This record gives sequence, C-alpha cells and structure tokens, in this order.
Amino acid sequence: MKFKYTAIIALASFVTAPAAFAQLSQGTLGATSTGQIDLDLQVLDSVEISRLGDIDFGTYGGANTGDIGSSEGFCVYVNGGDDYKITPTSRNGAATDDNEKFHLLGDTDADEIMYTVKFIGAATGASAASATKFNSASTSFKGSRLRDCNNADNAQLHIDITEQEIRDATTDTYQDTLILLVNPV
Amino acid sequence: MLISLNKLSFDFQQTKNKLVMLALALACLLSLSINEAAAEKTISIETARDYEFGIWANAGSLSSTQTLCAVAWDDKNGGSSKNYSTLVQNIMGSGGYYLYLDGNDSATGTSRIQVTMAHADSSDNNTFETLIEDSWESQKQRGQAPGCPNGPSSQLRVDIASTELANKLGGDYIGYFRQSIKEGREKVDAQGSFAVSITIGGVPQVQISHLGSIDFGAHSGLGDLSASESFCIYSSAPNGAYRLSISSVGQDANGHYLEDLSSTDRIPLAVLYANNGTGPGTIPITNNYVYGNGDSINTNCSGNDNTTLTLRLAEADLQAASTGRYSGQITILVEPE
Repeated sequence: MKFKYTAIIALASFVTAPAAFAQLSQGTLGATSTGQIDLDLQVLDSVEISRLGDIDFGTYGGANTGDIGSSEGFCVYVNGGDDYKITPTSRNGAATDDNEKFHLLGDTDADEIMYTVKFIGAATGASAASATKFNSASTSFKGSRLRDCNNADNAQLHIDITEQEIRDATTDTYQDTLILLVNPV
Repeated sequence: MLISLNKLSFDFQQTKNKLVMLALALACLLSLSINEAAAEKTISIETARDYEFGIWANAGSLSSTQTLCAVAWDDKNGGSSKNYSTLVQNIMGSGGYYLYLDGNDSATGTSRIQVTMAHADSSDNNTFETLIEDSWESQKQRGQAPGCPNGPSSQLRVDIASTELANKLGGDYIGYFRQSIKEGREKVDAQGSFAVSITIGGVPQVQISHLGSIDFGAHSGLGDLSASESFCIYSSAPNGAYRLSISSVGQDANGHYLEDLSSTDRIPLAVLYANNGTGPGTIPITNNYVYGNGDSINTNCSGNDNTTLTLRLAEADLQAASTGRYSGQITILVEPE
C-alpha cells in the first residue's frame, strides 16, 4: 500500500489599489535642504508546503494483526507566519459509498481499503487531532515564517487503516495519491 | 547828373558794414538775455552713496534709504522753490532694477536679483512712490534752495524681498544706477552713479529636488525587491561638495524599515547611495553620512539628476512579512561641505 503526495502551493492574491502617496516634498534652497521620498509596498498572501515524502505501509499478511498507521512530517510556510488550513483530496477521489472518506484502490481488482487522514499542526500540537474529511478544510494551523521551516517540519500528516478494512480487501497492491491544498487564513 | 561808379561802390560797402555791425549787436543782446534767464533757476541732485547690504542671512527682506539734497530753485523775485520729479536708470541693463551675479549684466534667472526703488521728499508729502526703471515718477516733489538749507530731504529707498533672495545662487551681486531730476523741461543727471550690492550665501547653499515616490508594487512570495530614485543636488560649496544623510519613520539603531499600516510588522529596508544620476546605489546608508559632489552652477541641475538612492528589500524579509500594505518615508538631508 503506497501513498504519494502532491503538494499544491496556493497563492492567493487580490487586486491592489494604486499607491496613495503623500504630497511630495522637494527641498528648498538654503544652508541645508531636506527632501522626502514616499515608499509603498503591497505584500500578498504566500504559502508553500514542502518536505513531503511517500508513505509505504509495506505488506500485511496473515501473520499481521491490528490497525496500521503512519505519519509524515512536512513544512508549511505562510508569509508572516500567519495561519493556514489544509484541504485534502486524492487522486482516487472520495470513497464510492462514503464521499467524506478516502480509499486506496487495488492495482488489479476493483477492491478498496478505506483510510482516515489527520493533520497535526504547530498551533495544536495535538496528536489526537480529529480526522479531516475528504475535500474539507482542516482546522487552522500556524505557518512558518521561513520557507523551509529552517529545515524542520511544523506539521504532520497521520494515516490510519483499520485491521478490518485490510481483512476485507482482496490480495493486491493498493495505492492512492493524497493531494494537500494549503490556504492562508 | 553824373555818378561815379567808384563812389557808388563805396556807399554800398559802407551800408553793408553797418548791417553786419547791427547784426552783431543784436546777437550779443540775445545771448545776454538767455544767460540771464538760465541763471535764475538752479536744479541739481546729489549722487547717492552706494547701498551695501552685506551678507544676506538667509532670512528676511532688506531695505535701505538714503536722504539726499535735491535742489529745484528759482532766484527770480527773491527766490522760490520749484517742483521736481526724479528718475533712476539701470545703467547695466534695462527693464528693471537688477543686481547681477559677479556683475555680469547678462545674468538672468537665479543669477539676477530684482530690487525695487521708491522715492519721497520730506519737504513735500513724504509719500514714497515706487519707481519704474527709466520712467519719471508721477508725483511732484518740492525742491530746496541751493545747499539744501533745510537739510537733505530727497529720500531714495532700495528694497529687496526675501522671496527674491531665497531662490538665488550664492555669490556677490551688484548693480549700478544713476538718478536724475527734472524741473519743467530741464533735466539734470546726478554727478555720478551709485551701486547696490549684496552677497548671498555667507555659508554655501544647497538644494535637493526632482524627488519622486517609489512604489515597490506587490510581492507575491519570491525574489528581492529593488527600486531606485534619482534626483538633483545643488551645492554652492567648492566643487559642489555636500554630505547627505537620511532618516525614516521606522528608523532604529539597526537601520530603516517599511511598516505595516495596520500592525507592528515591518520589513528591513536597505538604502544604497550613488554619486551619479544613473545608479544603482552601492554605498550603504544607515545612520552615517555619505559625501558627494552636486551641481555647483544650476540649482535645477539643468533638468538632470546627479544622485541616486537604491532601496532594497530582501526576499527572506519579504517572506517573513504578513500580508498587508507597507509604507515608509525616507527624509534626505543635504548639507554643504
């Protein structure tokens, strides 16, 4: 069972009004002379998700028991270290019988294994974060002011698969590609 | 009766001589009459002393008045004063009363100072009338007897407005003028001319101009931002030498910043100076002086720029900044060196 991740950098911009400069101040002739330059800058929303890796659950056979789960750390940069939300979708789309759930699909057969997605962000620090539904925004997390989070992770993705889902599945290789859309708040 | 041709010729010659003598006698009588009439009236004006205003202290208007002896007198019938009017001419140019930088009468604009002149006579109504160059004043003044027994009473005032002085180049200015008076149709010039002089810029003067605003535009996440502003610096110091320093609204000991209008966020701003009008700037300015040479001739740099400030915002600082509008104001101080 393999997961692949697609990182989407969401750049939200908005139309900017023309800069409203104050009256220019030119210098006058004298023993000293003073002039002024007015400056204007618009900083737009800017986010980036990085440091993502694939998750390989390996094999699950008759000798294996129990639920399986795996985590993957990553970095979310938001300009100014502002807040963000993640909206997960996947290449396989939502599960057929429950469009709020994710599912792995077998390579050869049309069987599926349902799984849940949880996000743990810097703002919460809670490993017990509730599952995020398919194509629904997560709770808000705090981004990093640095694009690479200073070579560290500031968020974590957790995938859980119940033993029963695996027991119900036909022998096969199951895959999905999780797509994470990051939006500044 | 016989008449001799010789006698006829002699009589004619005698008659001719008598006519010539009569004509000479009449001419002498007429000449004496004119001299006697001229001697009855006396008209003169004392030459004004030079008006030396010294060094202008970069503030205030200037005014100076001299009181002169103006004689307009008729000796006839025991003597009586006559009315007179005055006129002052610019003997270096025309069209106004001007002082010229270094006495160069071709100077114009910021190299020429316009002054005003006004005249009054305390023997009369003592009301000053502003004079028009090379035009007679309209009011009539009461002249005095020769020697001005009541004391000098003709007042010639020279005024220079501070607004006129403020825009002029530094240096020595001078103009030369001649005063005349007239009584009736008789005009008399003063014996000599007088000068009006002033020095601008006891200390060298500077001016910064051609400044514009800088709009960095919008930053969407990637790359440094850089913008340059070129402008004109004039300095009357030798070689146009000046020193320049800057300050800003968001300044601290570490440098300058753009500040968010709605929060406390700010973005470090690097300021780089170039002693030319093309840039980009290369010499950092934080809380230090930089030194350069401006235009020493033309306060407007003849319409060109000769100095550049380049402002830079680093990518990492921009990425660390929250979404919003940031503004700043750089104040540039120029001092002569």
